[in-house]
Amino acid sequence: MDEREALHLCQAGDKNAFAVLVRQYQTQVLGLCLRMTGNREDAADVAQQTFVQAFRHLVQYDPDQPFRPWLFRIATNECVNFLRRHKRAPLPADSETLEAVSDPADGAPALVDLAEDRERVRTAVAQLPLQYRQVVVAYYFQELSYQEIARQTGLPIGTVGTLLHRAKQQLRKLLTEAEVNQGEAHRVRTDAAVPGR
Amino acid sequence: MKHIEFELMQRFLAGEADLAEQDTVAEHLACCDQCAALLAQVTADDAALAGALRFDDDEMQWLASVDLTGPVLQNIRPWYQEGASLAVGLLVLAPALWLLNWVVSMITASVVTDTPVGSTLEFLKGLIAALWELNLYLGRGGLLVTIWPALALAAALWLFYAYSKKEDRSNA
Repeated sequence: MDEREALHLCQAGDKNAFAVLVRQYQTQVLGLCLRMTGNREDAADVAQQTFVQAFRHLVQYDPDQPFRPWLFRIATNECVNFLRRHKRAPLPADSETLEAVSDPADGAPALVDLAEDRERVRTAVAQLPLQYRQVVVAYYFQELSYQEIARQTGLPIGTVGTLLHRAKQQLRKLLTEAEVNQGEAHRVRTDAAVPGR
Repeated sequence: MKHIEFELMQRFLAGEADLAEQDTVAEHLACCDQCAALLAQVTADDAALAGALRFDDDEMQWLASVDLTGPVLQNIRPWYQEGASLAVGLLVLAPALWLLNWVVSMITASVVTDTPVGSTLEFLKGLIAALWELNLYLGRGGLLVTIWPALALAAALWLFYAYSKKEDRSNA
């Protein structure tokens, strides 16, 4: 059964045909949820809820439009709702703080040097405010264009570029802080290990 | 010389700059080593970020091991079950509202209204009375008129649901 046929049957209320769509998209939806929530258990819950909501709203889906962006818009909304409900959505840093971190043009550290530790980058992404996290995940992980991001998130296309720019500034700030903290922890460990100091 | 703004550079790299902007950036890059170096750095930054967010082997294994089909299908409720839940909700809400109205009336009758507690209760009573009026208006005439169609709808939908469950079981 192909996607179009499955969609047609689902719109008529066939639950079993929906299983075909779940199997086809579950890895991609789970991946997006994992990057947005930063946690496997939460990602599985949100992905499951995404499919349930998708089935419930299939009547509103226009079969002439591609299914994937429609499904991913639901997934993004579900992630945002989940993170808001669980208060895991920090507010954006004010522009003064971000300006202090500045751009590489003004001598700020390069992300390429700070992003060597993948786990640290993922932690930093999970600490980003919601809108920043949405665009970072959509642009760098899903590799979407600005227009596709705008469609998926419901943001104006002009805002996507600005948010991405600010998100990178805040990521740079978070990664720099993480590096400083790690450096200090290392120094404390070294001091403690040297007798007589 | 005026250098390229960082945000424009980002848009240029993403292929989102318009034609005029692309020309400006390309012309500037041809004669500015500083911006060319910055462009190379931003490209490397972007590649590093994309690389860090890509799945590693452990995540790939986890993603391959998860099957959401069962839990999703279990959580999908047919429309008639949703409708039945709504009808049951209405059934519970109408008498609950009536009971609350009665309880608050009893309390306010025994509390002096010029105290803070009294005035709050008076306000609550007004609110509940307004909701009750709305219920009557929607029910076009009273509690029974609201309840019986809802009860009949709930019963019909549950019967339909029970029948379809039985069909599912016999098909399985």
